[in-house]
Amino acid sequence: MGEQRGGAGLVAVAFVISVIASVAFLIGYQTNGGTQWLSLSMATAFGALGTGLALWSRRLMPTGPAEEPRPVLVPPEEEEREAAQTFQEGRRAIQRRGLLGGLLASALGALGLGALWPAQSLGPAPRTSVRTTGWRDGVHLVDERGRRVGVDALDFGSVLTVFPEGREPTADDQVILLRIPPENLALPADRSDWTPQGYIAYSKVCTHAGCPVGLYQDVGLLLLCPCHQATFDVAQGARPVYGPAPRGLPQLPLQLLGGQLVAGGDFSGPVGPDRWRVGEAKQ
Amino acid sequence: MTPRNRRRASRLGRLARWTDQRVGAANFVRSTLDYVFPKHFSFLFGEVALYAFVVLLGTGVFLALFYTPSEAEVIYSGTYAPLHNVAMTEAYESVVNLSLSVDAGLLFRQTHHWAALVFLGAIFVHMCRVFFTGAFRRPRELNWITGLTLMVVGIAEGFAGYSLLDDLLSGTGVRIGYAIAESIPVVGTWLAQWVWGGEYPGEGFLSRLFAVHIFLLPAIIATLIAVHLALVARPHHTQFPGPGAHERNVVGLRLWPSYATLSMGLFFLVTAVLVLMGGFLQINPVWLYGPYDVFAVSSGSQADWYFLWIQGALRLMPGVSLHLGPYTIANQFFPAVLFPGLIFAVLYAWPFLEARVTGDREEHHLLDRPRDRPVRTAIGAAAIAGLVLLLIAGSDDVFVTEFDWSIVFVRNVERVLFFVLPPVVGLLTWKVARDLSRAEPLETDGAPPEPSSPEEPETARQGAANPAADRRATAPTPDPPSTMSRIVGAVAAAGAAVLAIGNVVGRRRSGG
Amino acid sequence: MAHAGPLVQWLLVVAAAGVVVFLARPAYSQQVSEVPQGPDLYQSNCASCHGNNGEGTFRGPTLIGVGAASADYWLRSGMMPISAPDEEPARREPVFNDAEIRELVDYVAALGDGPAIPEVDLTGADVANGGELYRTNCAACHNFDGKGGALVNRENAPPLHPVPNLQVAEAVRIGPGVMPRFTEAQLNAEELDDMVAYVDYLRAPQDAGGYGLAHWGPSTESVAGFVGLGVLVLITAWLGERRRG
Repeated sequence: MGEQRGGAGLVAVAFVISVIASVAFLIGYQTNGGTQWLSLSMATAFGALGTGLALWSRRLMPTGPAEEPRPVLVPPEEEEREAAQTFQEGRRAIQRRGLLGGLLASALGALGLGALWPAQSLGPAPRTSVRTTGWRDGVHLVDERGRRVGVDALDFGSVLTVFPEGREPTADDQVILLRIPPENLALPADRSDWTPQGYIAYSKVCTHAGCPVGLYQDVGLLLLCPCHQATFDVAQGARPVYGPAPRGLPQLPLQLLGGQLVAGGDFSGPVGPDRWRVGEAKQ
Repeated sequence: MTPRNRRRASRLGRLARWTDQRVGAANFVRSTLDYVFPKHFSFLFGEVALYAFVVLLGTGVFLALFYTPSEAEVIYSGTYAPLHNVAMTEAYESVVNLSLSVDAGLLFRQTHHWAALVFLGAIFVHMCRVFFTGAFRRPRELNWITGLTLMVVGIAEGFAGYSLLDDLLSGTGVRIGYAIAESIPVVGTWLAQWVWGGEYPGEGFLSRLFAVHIFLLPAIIATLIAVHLALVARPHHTQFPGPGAHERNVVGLRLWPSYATLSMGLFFLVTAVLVLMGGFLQINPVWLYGPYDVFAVSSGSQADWYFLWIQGALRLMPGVSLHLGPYTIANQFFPAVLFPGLIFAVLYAWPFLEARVTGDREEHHLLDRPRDRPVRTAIGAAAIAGLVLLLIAGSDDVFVTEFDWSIVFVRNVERVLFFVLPPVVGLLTWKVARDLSRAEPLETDGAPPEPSSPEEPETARQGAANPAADRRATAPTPDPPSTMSRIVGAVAAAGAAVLAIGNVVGRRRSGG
Repeated sequence: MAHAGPLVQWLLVVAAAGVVVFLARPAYSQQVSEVPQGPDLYQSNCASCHGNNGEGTFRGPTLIGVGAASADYWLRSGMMPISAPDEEPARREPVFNDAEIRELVDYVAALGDGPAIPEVDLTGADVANGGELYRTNCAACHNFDGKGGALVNRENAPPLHPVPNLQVAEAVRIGPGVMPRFTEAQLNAEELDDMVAYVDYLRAPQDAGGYGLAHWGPSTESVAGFVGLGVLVLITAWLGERRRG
């Protein structure tokens, strides 16, 4: 039988501890004992109960070794043949009515298609148009609290997240605004007038997997994304210089309008991570 | 038996007979109660996963009653001062309130999250046991498939669960998830917008995720568990070879009363450990992360471990996309879709691949010792080494920050190790396994193993001229180091080497 | 006393005098000569790298226009002075005492216009507003809990817990090292106080859930999860048999 002296006693003690711990839990709950008290009492209750059961099984119950035969999985040929025959007989009844069978299949298929069709309601109709952002020529830059960004907003070496004025900002609208000494810039020629007084703006959506590119290293002029460490060179049009980003951050052209910063158009390229049809930014 | 017990027994007996006369299950009940389980402790890993799932269900019901799956913006006015008057979604607010203002709320929430980590961890450990012992072979290929599917669905379920909280950490993960979905060629953009209800962040994503997490996926998991257990019970458990154990029987513990009691005990002990963790180890302190903001992010943002390896792959992948005319196969597709897809394809196909390569299509109910299958064991070890490396890569900015190392240097080392470490580990494992297998042949009839002394012939030759060698030849050969001590020794040596090299070379140089 | 011998009487007088002298001793700072002037301190400790007039050399950057805040930050944190140009500045006990630091700060401030030392007043600060500002402006580099973050090619963003409140405020204004700076137009004085109050809170945040696991999030939590799993494996080893077969 495998009984051990004192086995029953241990089990009893374990169960008693469990009861006491459960009561302690109830008390703890009623007196706002806090998470730790509730946890300790409940864990003790469960643990003592589990220990008691384990001890009961190991010390007081038959521990074997018991043995039983394994069921045979491969059926005897006789059974297999009978099963196949039963199936074939029924199948012939269907096959004889070929037209009906075909029409049944069509009806089921059409119904299945119809039943699944409303799944489209989950998302917008598939289309191939390119995403648009809120940035247009003349749109003011505003900060997170809606205040317009003036020409004195930033010093050289400062950084600010900005959005297009006039609409609820979408995820793709976010822009990171920096100010660096113009002599440090090395942009392509066609962007030479995009950076009034050293202000320079890029899309903040990482072109790797979409995290906000929130880290700015003032020495080396690098924008860094914390998710997978994609790194972009601010002075050279945010081209990727380290990490897994496949293309640079699109740049937003800036202009000064009455002492305030406005966009000079939409981004220089598609915003966000690559996808099957990356496309071009719309103006 | 006391008179009261006798009355209770006869009442139960009458109830049982009444039921059986209507259900007709006496035979089934008897065979179930007689079912024999092998006693080795490694057969309990799957049960740990099962009981963790039960804890998830129990704690999950409580959480579901307090969570609000709404993206409507509210202003916090609860008890936690550092969030006072902060704008947040109702979902996030409901979680902060549950954690900090509802009695036992935080305990239930943290227990639930620890249970999720342990659930998937136990599945992984159980899968490794099944793999390394060859339990997936005929007739259990189907069960290997259901088990893998359980793991895949479980991973999705875990991601859905921690994303519901809409905090700054999990929200970042959701954004990355959208980018990964979008990267799938041809259908990616459509698929992502279909799931999210539009361009990111979409419409009503949290409430969809809620339905998926509390209903759709748990129903699938529960069904798969039932199928999984049925597919275990039909051919009966496998067992290790040993005295009295052979292919046509099972030796061990009967379900009733011994194994059922033991298993119940395990359930309560699993719950106890999870509840203890839930109260004393803080997990996912969302009040500290802050509410999710599409424009904000924190450094040191990691996914939970079952996604962390994909994060590592995303970090190691070089920055190129594949351009095919006007179309692009996006960079993130390769590490986050193609790579895991290949891994799981190989996993799913493994029983069939191995059967084809070994030509072995027999039924197997006796398990292998991992050392007796050095190639399979080596491949498994190599895969685990690769997994661990990717987990490290996914979290490397954490220890780089802690120890003030250079992330560029560490990343380069990881890239090299990704290709070097698995083959090295595989080769070492193959050698060790093969040597161990030869040194301690499988005892097939209970007789003690032959004394292992492969060196004796050599020392005996030398012994004639050398008295010292003579002593060596006649001295009892020392036991070969146990498998466990070899593994521990190797891991310790590797760890020490990594720390030493990292400390010396990886430490930042000024200006470097 | 009258009965003691003359030697003993002398000894007692001397002892009493010694006690009086000891009690009346002047404070240490009064014992030394005047605090060295700013220019002298600068010349002996800073000029070799930063130039005789703060104009900078190839060994160190210019100090003209960096402002009092910058000097105060670098000196109080102990990160300056360093003994060699390629030495990595590290936070440690300041080399100079309070008075000397003030002298040097005045000297550097006079070199050119730059940010003044911010006045930090945390009474009545809005910690929650500070938290929002912190998450928007700081968390990307310094982590939601202020544990710091990995940067490429230069020093990492350091942890904020050991940084005193005033130095936090100074760093925000001057942007030391690779850190960007935040102007008054971006963050006014009140908002800066709020943010510093939140950073102060992060030194000991509320850990309602138990041991905080270093507040590193899922990385340390996953390790702890596997430790818990390990405990459960040990439990199964107790429940089941360890010998195979």
